[in-house]
Amino acid sequence: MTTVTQGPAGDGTVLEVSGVSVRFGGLVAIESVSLSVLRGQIVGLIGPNGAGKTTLFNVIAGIQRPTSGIVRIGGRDISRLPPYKRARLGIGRTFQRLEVFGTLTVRENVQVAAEARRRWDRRIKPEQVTRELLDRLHLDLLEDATVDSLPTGTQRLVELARALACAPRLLLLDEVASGLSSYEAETMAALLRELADDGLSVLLVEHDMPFIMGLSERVSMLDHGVIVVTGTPAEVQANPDVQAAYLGSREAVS
Amino acid sequence: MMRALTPRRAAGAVVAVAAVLWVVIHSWAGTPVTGNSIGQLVIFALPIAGIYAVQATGLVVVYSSTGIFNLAQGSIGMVGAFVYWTLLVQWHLPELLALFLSVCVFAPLFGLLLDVLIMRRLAQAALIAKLVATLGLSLALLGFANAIWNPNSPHAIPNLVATGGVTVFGVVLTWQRLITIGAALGLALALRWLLYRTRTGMSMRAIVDNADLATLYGIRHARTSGLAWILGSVCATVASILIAPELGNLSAQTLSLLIIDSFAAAAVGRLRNLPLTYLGALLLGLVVSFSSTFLQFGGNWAQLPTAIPSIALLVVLLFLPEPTVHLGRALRTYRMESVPSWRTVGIASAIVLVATAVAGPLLSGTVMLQLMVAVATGVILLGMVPLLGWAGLPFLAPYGLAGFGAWLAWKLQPDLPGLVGILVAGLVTAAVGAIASIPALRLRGLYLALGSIAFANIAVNLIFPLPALLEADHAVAPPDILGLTLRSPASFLVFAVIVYLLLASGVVWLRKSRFGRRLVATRDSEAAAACVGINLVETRAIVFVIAGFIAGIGGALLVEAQQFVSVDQLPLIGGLSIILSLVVFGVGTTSGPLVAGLMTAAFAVISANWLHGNWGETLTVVGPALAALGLINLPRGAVPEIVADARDHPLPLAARAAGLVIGGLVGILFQLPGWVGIALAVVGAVLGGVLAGLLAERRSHSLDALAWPDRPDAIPPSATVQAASADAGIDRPDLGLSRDIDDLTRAQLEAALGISTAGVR
Repeated sequence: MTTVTQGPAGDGTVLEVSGVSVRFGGLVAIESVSLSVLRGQIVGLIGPNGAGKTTLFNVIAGIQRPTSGIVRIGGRDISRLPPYKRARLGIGRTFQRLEVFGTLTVRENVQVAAEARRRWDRRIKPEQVTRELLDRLHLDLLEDATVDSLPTGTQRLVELARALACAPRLLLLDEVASGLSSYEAETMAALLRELADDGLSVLLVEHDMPFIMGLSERVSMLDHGVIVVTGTPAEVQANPDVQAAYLGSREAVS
Repeated sequence: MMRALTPRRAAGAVVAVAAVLWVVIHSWAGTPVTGNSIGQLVIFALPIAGIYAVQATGLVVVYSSTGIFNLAQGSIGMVGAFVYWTLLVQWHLPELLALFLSVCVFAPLFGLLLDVLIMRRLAQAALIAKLVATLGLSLALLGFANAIWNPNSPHAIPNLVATGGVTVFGVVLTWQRLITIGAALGLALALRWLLYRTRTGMSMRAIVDNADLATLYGIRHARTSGLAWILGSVCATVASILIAPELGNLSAQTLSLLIIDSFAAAAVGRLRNLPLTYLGALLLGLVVSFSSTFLQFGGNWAQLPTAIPSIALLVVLLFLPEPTVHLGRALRTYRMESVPSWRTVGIASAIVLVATAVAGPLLSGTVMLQLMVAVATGVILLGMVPLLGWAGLPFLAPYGLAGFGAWLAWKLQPDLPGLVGILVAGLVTAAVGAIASIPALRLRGLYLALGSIAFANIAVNLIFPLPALLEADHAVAPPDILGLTLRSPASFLVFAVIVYLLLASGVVWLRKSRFGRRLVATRDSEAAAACVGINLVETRAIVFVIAGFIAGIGGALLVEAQQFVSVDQLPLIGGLSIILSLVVFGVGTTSGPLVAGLMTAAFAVISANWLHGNWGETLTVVGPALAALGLINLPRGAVPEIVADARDHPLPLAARAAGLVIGGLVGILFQLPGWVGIALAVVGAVLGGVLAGLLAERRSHSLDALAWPDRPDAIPPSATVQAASADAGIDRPDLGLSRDIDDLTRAQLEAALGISTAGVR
């Protein structure tokens, strides 16, 4: 799906976050967070509400400037770049609180992104990219619907299609399965696996435990702004800290 | 919390400091700097600061508890001051009684009335609708005040205490000014007590912090909103009564516009923080006082002191910390724009052109002149459509741009008398647009609106009157087009209409283009646009350039239609008024600008031909203002609503209202005699908007509206959900989950996703 240029590190690390902290005045949102995502890897990020997951996404995407720390994409330091330049370097994202272009149609939502991509990728035809993505995500029947008139789950698919239209090498998905029916979630999981097999790296924030544990190669748990555990899904589920954090919640047991 | 000093910020600070130093050194009056003169400076500054503080407090209290920035604050105070005058001077009531009645009885009731009748229903409206509604209120009050209190006869309010005062640093601090300082301090203490010590005050603060949560805890919006408007109205009245004696004769316009000077103080408080607002008022007072004590502006810059508060506002806005990208979608879910098909554009253009060619030769005199002005105004407003309608940038200074086109049309005419001159005027104004966009790139939403008003104020009072520009009036000859001099008004009218139609087609093309989609995307979600690689700054700069180009051409047409150029053609209030009309008729359409121009012209014709005295003079202002208040229920603007409505129902109220508008315009254009024309025009144009508004209201508030079946594109279900939950006092409904879709889409969705929702419904 995308040509991955090897960073100077040469080890296939697509995203590298090192020592990122965000403080709002005296309040610490995230503290010295470091993590990395390899090419074609799906990494899950879990943690209770307010743990700093979305803040971390905003730092990676360039919407939130970190108090300290470095973000690298393909080995290149992008810590000081504005969001649109990061998008051009291959970071795509969806939003926890939906950020669709509500008054545009489904097709236009995807097309805007494809047309933006043409600015740095002259080889593509935006119409063709749009058509392929709408077909692939089964949005073709709804393509002329105004996005504001669609239910949440469909809007999430539109956000995903829009992010993919930019041919990212790293995809940040913020609770992409919430609002989806179990059938839709399964379809989504299958799609993400396909994309990862094609070489796309995914960083995934999710509250749906079966979804994230089934999909991720590695999982990190963020609590009070600090990464407390990192490991395979099985290791993380077995970790006492994780169980403590999710104590009483049904998901932790599964 | 201090923000990091970025290089760009530091450069901005250096430029600002250098500019201030240059002005200070250049205009130094030579007053010796002694302890005494500095003392005098402070003594002069305090009462000015007091007025700013009281006015800005009114702005902040209302904005922070209702989300509405009250552009009518000055006008509300103005009405209060006139009521005080009536009670004191006309009815000879004792001073204290008159003061009590106007400040403690009239002002609270007036504020409450405004809240109940208008403002409460605006809580969920789009920013532009809120701005335009308060702007409309301001203009309407201004018009009514001029009609009731004849501006040609004197209305002077005496000082509260006639003579005497305290001598400090060798200057007399009059009792009036002492009272002003005292009133500002008293207000601060009273608010401190109210907000921190009373239950109601706690509720107000809670709503500011988190409206949703506050609602869950049972805090009633209606009550706090009413209280906020009462406080705002009282602040406005107190400030006006205190400042009025200093201004001499009461002028409705001066008192209304005075509020612009307080914007800077409110902006220092970031429109929410009262102590910082007081600090801002104090700083502003010191700056104004410094310039009057130590500086002397002569020649070209004699008008500078009047523009100081506006310049201060721009400076404050530029240094205001703001997030780089705004996260969170606009609350507005209405589709403001309607994009016509090329077939519609072609047919509509042909009809307009033929009508112009046929009707043109039949018209003459005022009607002809106003019609030409209407088309030119339409072109100016057309430039605002991509900016306001599509990019969602509330830029309220159309004449601030058009004025440069107007000046250039005159300046270039000896050398470039034809189309080239007009195009060059457009291109140069486009460059001005680019320059104007530099501050605008950092600002968004309300701050941009305020900044643009400051820009308009500076342009009209400082830049345009410069000797190099439009110090004096000049004659402008009709243009030469293709070797023909358009001497006859009819030929110029046809020319102007062709220009309008061409530019309108260009604007439609723009909307259908990649750039148009990109613009709408940045409006709908800044964060998402940035995250798909769209450069927001570049996109905004381009749209300002386009707006400048079209508005510049409009400005050139405006002065060529009137065959003279003058600063008076570009008044601040007039600019706000035409923006208002544009929003009323459809800010996202290409027909809206022309209809808005015609409406403005129609009122001008009515008042010139049939109405005499105060009412006639102010109708031009009041008409669009009233229509703006009807906008509360016509969120997308009158033209698209009426068109959509006419499509659904064979003969709905709104279509009849449209008929009346057309009837009114015909009555004016063909100069039907006397009251027939007036009745047609006034009923059609003003009440038509209100009638259509009532219709729209009935629709969106009825339960049926939740399943509005015919036009999924017209009013999205989410809009009705919002309207319904707004009534329930919930700020932000759970978007999406409660959303309904029409059956066709649902069936398609099920097919697409392989699911069945049959049991859900």
